[in-house]
Amino acid sequence: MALRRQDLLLDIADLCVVYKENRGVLQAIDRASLAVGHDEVVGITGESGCGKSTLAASILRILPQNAEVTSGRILFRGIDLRSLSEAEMRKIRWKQISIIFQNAMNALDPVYKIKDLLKEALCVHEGMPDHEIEGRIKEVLNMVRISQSRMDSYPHELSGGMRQRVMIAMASICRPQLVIADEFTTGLDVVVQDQILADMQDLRQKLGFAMILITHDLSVILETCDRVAVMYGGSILETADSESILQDPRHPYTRALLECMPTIRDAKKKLKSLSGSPPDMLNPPKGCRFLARCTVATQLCQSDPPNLEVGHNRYSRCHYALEQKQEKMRIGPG
Amino acid sequence: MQHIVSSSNTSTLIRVGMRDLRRDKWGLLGLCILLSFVVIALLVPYVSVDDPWEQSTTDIIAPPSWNHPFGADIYGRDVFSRVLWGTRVSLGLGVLAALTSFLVGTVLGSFGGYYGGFLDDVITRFIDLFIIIPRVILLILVAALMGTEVWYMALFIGLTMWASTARIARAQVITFKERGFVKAAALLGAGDIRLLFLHILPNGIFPAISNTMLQVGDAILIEAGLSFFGLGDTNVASWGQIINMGMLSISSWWLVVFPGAAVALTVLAFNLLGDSLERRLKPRLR
Repeated sequence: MALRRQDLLLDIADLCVVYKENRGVLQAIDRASLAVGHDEVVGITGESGCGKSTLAASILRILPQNAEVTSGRILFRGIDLRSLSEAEMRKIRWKQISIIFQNAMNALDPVYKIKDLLKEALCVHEGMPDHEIEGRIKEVLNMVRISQSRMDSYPHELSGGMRQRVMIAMASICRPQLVIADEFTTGLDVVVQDQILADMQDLRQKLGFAMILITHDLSVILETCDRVAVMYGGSILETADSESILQDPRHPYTRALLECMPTIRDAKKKLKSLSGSPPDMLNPPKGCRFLARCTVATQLCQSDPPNLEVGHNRYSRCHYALEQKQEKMRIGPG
Repeated sequence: MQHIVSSSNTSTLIRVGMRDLRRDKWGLLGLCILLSFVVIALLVPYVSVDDPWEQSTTDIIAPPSWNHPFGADIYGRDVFSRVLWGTRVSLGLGVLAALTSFLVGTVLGSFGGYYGGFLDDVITRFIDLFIIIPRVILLILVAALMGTEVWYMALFIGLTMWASTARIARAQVITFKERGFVKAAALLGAGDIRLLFLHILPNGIFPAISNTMLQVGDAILIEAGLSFFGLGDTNVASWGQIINMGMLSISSWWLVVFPGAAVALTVLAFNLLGDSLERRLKPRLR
């Protein structure tokens, strides 16, 4: 899918976010650029602490107090979200960009019934007559496949999967254009996870919103997303469509990620784990973020890698991304 | 954590609470004693007992008899009817004092906990101040300055008791304001007041409620104590006033034992009920 500038729903460019800690300044996001088109599902993946959730929080401007966006822009339908006042932001938040939280149980207030939770999600934003609210709630519950008899239930009376569905209903009841799902299937068993992902796709097609899916589960990403951004140590190392990233990864880190994912076809394949640990973001290393753990690093990698365009809408932050000999990038004798 | 949160659920709470109460014999006992006192307080004007103020020269310090089940005091007034009528005063006073304490404590404590920073510092120091001032000394001072009208007394007793409720409310708000669903509601666009009163307090107020239950009993005791010192409202027949009267004739045990038993029973009832509520609502003691 070709992405022209005017097609973009969300356009993040060179975003830098720091956390001011007692121990110093932590570079949480370093020059991240990411585009999301209308109707597109973009996955962000990477290991814990790589900045996935910080990126999501900076879009909605719900970063913790000690965080600061130091540079970059976040264009949503051509408006720079960074320049908006808090009151203007409140009109966009949830109504146009909503979020599905990591842990549904914690995000649902235990003292309210499901219908009241949905009503609040709807009402804080829209002055609507009662019967319309009721209709909207029923409609959205229907879409996430929750029986209407559950409207009067409390969150604790629902199973984990149903709670997550309620969360999805809350996130989509205002008909947003962009939904950010932050690890929303984590903690559910694989079968439920699969059902919810499928239903989510249905819902997305019915309501027509774009989605950013944040997860460290690469299989979820490859199954659901049109495009993938792979993050490591605060920077986006590679962006590509899901198919190409699986077939032809252009960054050693992506390659390493794929190598530690089990496949159904090659059961005997040994999974490889990456030695070492992610960089200390209080003192980020010079040059490539992945340098310390990269098996193909050279002298050149001591310098900052450029964001190379390696194909149609494909970018990779690796000096050797364009190199013909992809074998060179393969980790170990593979 | 999950089942703990789920137990603090408003309308299912009452159902679950009643179910648990049936198993909680002490709590049930407390509820029964309390309900009988409430019934007495409500029905006493419609039952033909003697006028609690009617004096009789023939019955002065009469011991308990068929005519005067609890005896008569030094003015020949029927102690039985005075104790019954005293239920209205003492219960009303206890409830009013505890409510005052609950409102002041919850509002101050939760605002301090919610907003934090300078406001919290000021409120916390204010709470500390009320904790260190001896309550009875303060109340003696107030009684001397403001008079001893019983409802004012109730109000002032309440105003000396709010500090513990405020501390509980503050701690609860601080815990709950970091919870996911509060953050989620904030993200939905809910303002501070909405967050505090519709999301944080409905989840976290229960320990403050059980504390308030205990305070009803405390307030009744304090009033009885003040009355005993002669600082009560002499125009009402509160239990404390009846006991105070008993001081004038120390050998007449019935002047002290019956109203004293009423005080003890009520305080016991509120304590049993408060403990039971705490057991059932405070997750860590379950």
